[in-house]
This record gives sequence, C-alpha cells and structure tokens, in this order.
Amino acid sequence: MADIPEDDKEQSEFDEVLNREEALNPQNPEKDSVQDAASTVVKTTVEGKWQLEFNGHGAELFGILLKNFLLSVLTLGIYYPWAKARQLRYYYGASRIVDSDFQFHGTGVEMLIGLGKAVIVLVFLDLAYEGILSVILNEWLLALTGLLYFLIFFLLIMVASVGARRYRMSRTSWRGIRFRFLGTFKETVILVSGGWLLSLFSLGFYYPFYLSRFQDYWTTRTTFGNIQFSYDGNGKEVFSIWLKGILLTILTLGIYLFWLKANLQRYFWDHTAYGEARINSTLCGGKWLKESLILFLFVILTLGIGRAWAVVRYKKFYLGTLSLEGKIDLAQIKQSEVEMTGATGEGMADFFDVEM
Amino acid sequence: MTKTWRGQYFDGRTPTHRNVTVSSDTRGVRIKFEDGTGRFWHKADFWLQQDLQQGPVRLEYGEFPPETLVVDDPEFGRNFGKNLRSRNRFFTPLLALFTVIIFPALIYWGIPSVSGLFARFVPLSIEQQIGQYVIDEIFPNRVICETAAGKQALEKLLVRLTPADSDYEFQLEIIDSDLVNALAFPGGKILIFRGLLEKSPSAEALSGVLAHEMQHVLQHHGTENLLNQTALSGIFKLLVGEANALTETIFQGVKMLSLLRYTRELETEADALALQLLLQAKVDSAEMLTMFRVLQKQSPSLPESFSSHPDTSSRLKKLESLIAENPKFVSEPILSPQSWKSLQNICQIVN
Repeated sequence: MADIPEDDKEQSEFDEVLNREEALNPQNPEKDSVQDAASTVVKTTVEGKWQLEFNGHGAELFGILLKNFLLSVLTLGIYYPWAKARQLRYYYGASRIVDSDFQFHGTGVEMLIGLGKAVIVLVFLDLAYEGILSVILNEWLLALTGLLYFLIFFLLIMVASVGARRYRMSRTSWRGIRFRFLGTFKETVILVSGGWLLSLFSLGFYYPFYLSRFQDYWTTRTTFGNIQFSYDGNGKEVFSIWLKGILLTILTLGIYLFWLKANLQRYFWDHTAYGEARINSTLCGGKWLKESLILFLFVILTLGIGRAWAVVRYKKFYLGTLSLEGKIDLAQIKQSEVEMTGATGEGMADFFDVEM
Repeated sequence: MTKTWRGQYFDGRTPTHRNVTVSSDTRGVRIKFEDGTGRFWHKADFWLQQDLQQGPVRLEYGEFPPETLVVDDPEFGRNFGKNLRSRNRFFTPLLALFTVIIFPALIYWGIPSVSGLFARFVPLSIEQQIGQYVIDEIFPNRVICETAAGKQALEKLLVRLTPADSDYEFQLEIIDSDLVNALAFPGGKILIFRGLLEKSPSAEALSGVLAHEMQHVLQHHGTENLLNQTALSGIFKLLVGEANALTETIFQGVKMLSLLRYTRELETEADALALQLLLQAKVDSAEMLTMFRVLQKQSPSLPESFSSHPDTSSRLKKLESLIAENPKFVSEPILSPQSWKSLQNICQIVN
C-alpha cells in the first residue's frame, strides 16, 4: 500500500518532469500566461453557481445499448467489458458542469484483464473452500471454516469497493485533469470493520456516526488534480436525521425509507466542497421515489426496450439535483500523477454488485 | 482555402483552456493560438474520441497527461475518416429491425442446424455414457421385464431390423409400466413400456415403432437435441441477463415453442427413415399405420404447435403416401405367432 509521503515524493518528481518538458518546449503555453492583459489564457477564475447537467439522448443511448447487447450475444458475453466501457464513456461524456463535459478513459482491454483476474481469484477461492469442506468432518472446524469464508468474503468486498473507486476515479477527467482516490485497502478495512463492530455493540446507535466518518473518508480521499475534496458534516447531525428517519420509517411501514435515504444523501452532498466551491443538492424523497418508479415501470412496460430513454430521464433528474456554488481558480489546479490502478477491483465489483 | 474550426486547447496540466483555430490536412492538424503561435500534430501522434454522436470531437496528444483539443462541431471529425462519419439517422431503427429478424432466425434455423452438424462428431462411447446417464436419471427404479422366450423374440426383431452397416449395438429394455410409449437414447438404448407392447396389434406394428426409435439413435437425434437445448439455454441466459422478469417469461415461451417445433422435425425425419428400415428388412409397413391409429386413440389431441410430436393424422397421411411409392414391395412375417405371444407376455413373471 502506498503511503502518503511516498505519494508526495512521486508527485514532486512528476512535477519536475513536467517542468523539464516545459523548459524544453519553447512553444509551451505556460510562457504566454505571463504576457500582457491580452494574454491568450482565458480568465481562469470562475465564480457563481453551476448546475450539473446530463445531455444524453435516449435514441443515442439506445443505439449503444443495442449494439452492446448484440455483440455480447454474438461473442457469448466476452464483449461485456467493451460494452461497459462504451456505456460509461457515454454517461460521462453526456454529463457537464461549467460548460465542460466529463471524460471516461477506461478501456475494454483493461476491464477484461481486471475481470479475468477477479474470476481467477474467485474460482480459486471457491475451489479451495469446496476442497476444505469435503475433508472436514469435525463440526467445530466446520463452523470455523464458515467464519473464515465470511471474513474472506468481507475482505473481497472491500478490495472490490476500494479498487473500483480507485480505478474509476483515475480514469475520469474534466477539462483534461484526472480525479484520484487515495484511500487504501487497509484504511478502508479498519474503518468499515470498526464501524460495524461498534454499531453492533451500541445496538445500532453508532451507525450514523460511522456513516458520517465513512463519508468523510470517502470524500476527503478523493482529489481532482492536486486538490482534494473536503467534508464538513458531523456525526451528531447525521444521527438526528437518521433517528427521525428510522422512527418515521417504522410508523409508515417502510415507505419513509426513501425519504431517509434522500435526506442522508442530500446531507452528505451539501457538506462536500471542493476548494472554495460547495456542492448543493436539492434531492428529496418524494421526487426521488417518483422518478425511481417511473424508471422501473417504464423499463418493465416496454419489456426493457425503453430502458435507454428511462435511464436518460433518470440521470437528467438525479444530476439535475446537484450544483456547485462558489469560486474556483482553474489555474490553481494542477494535474497529479495518476497511479494507474488496474481494473481488478472494478471486475470484482461486478460480482458483488457494489458501488459505494 | 482550407476550412478552419474553433476549438479549445487544454494543456493537460491545469484545467484552464486556450481558444484556438484548427485546420487539418492529410498529414495532421494545425493548431493556432490567439497570439499567433501554433503547433502541428502529426496524424500518427494523436488519437481521437467522440463519445456522443452529436457531441464534440476530442483529440488527445502525447503521453500522460495528454494535451487535448476539443472541437464542438462534430463535422470536424469527418477529416479523420471512417469512424467519425455521422451516422445515418435510419441506422438505429435498421439495427433494431436486424435484431428482430436475426434472433428468431438464429433460434429457428441456426442453432438446430449447427447442433445437427456437431452431433455427428460426438464419439459413440460418449453418446453411450450420456444415454446411460439420462436413463438412470429419469428411470432410476425401473423394473425390466425378462423371460427367456420373450428375450429371444426381441433379439429376433432387432437382428432383422438393424442395418448391416450400423455402428450401433442396440439394446432393448421392456419396462414394466402402463405407459403407451417408447423412448430412444443416445448410444443405442431403447426403452419400450409394457403398455405399448400390450396395445400393439402385431409384431410388424411393434417393428414400426422400433424402427422409428432406432432411427432416432442412428440419426443422433438425442445428442442433437441435447446440444440444441444447451445452446438455446446459453443464449437465453444471455438475453435474460439483460432483461427483466416479464421479458424472461416471454423468452421462455419462444424457447419452448422453438424446442417443440424442433423435436417435431426430428420425429418426421425418424418416421420417413423408419419406413426405409422396414423396407430393407422386408417387414410389412402397412402395420405401422395400424399402430399409429392405435396411438392416435391414446393421445389427447393438441394443436400441432404445442406438441412435441407431429399431428398423428398428418403423420399417417405422409406415411401412406410414402408407402404408396413402393407398390411392389413383398413382406415376410417377422415373428411366428408363438414368439409374438411370448414377447407380449414378457412381463408376466414380474406380474
């Protein structure tokens, strides 16, 4: 696991390389930025409120989904990673903020390798487990093996979530600058297992505090360029949202669960910032439930054919609840060296269906 | 005069951009900054992306972090040829139509003919193993009828009907059950149920059924069916993986119909070829018709589409016309009345 100081060292080396390149290249644009007011560099500080938007079209997405589906069938599923890459590229490319879209740089080959590794690990573990089971007759040992299996399963889910997050972030860019996730497997396991154990011992009362801590970790370990996101939510506030939510959920026989989830998500978004710009969320339970139902019903009633249109509608809705407000000095943001995390975690995540 | 486009240039180090004008020729793209400086990207050195059909065209140049050039007008992409041609607006509907046609075609003709082809390459020993496995799975507790005289009669039938050049060694089992049916399995095992034996008017009639079942074996129908089902299930797994519960139900229906249609074809083939076996063995084929009439009374009548066997009356008609093609055919009795009697009573010890 790479420690942070190690990261910093690599980063400074990386910056040096960039500077050297600059010195070697007389045509470099940076040179122009010290020129007069009519500099060719466009004003770098942007200030205001920007809506996150989704500009996809159902027909376009339909074409992609259909082609992916056909090729998956004809290649007996081997096309899957390419299909996924194509789909993600579309989703990211159609998402815009401050007049620039996001980019997904992952490739099918990368994801195929990741998926292959994940399959090998899982098959190996399963065979080992079956093998152990077949020779064990003692009940005590059997229980122990079960426990071990559960533990390994838990660790694998952690590997999958951290790996997938690292992979996704390192392959995502906006205006040419990549995102990064710096969280490590070890930190995540300690945080999550500690959180679960404490929640268990406190009969669930610690759980909202854990949620807030996890969100803190997950957010502040994410960077765009050289600047990380920040989180200023606190456990007490999450606790009050959570307690109210749980009580109302019980009273409404579960219907309020949607509002609880929406309130938590809105809280987490609202307490996330990037530099001097803050994220704003207008997500609310009623609208969310309505849009989810429309998505679900539309897909079912059209026998899946209308999925593309339904997904576009849903994404327009969800991204539409998010905006960024404040000031960003683009010139202050510098590209970081992106650790080229492999896609094994991403592949593993496909099996566990986790996306944190 | 070459055409120019307006674009945004990103240096890959900060998210700021510079406005540029871009022109392109056969060698690459020329980028001009507002201050008059410029650069040239050779065609081999950049790669190109366009994620949305009507969206911007993006060129990336150099090692990580790449410099990026974004031109909003998708027309710009045309300079770089094939992969960026804007799509005909009929493309997607045509693709959809193609899917709608290609899938039924694949299911109705493609898979059956491919499994038919592959079935011929499955070695005999594997067929035998499959056959035995299936029999033991379906009828684990079957009671086999054997009397010495009955077995002798069966042996006589088999020897008479088996073609001289056959690779298969047929094995017949009479099962003590009221079912009026006979089943053939890959590798040469044939099960006949007591019910059918008792309903048979004559040894020749039974031979008709036997010849039909033997043709299933000789034509690898069982193996073919197995391959076919496996392939179909695989394809439907894939289809259903992308769909929801309702679609799954519909797919299952189509799959069922396809399988049934397929087995009907195999039955028709076995009928026609069974007649040839009877002709070669000089067994009276008219009795096969009698047998079918008996069977017709036994089975409930279903519309043909929903049945695994062709409609009996259409089967009879086909056979009648086939028999009529060989008017000079002279038959010889296959079993003596006594042997036939002992065969029909083969289960009596068990009873």
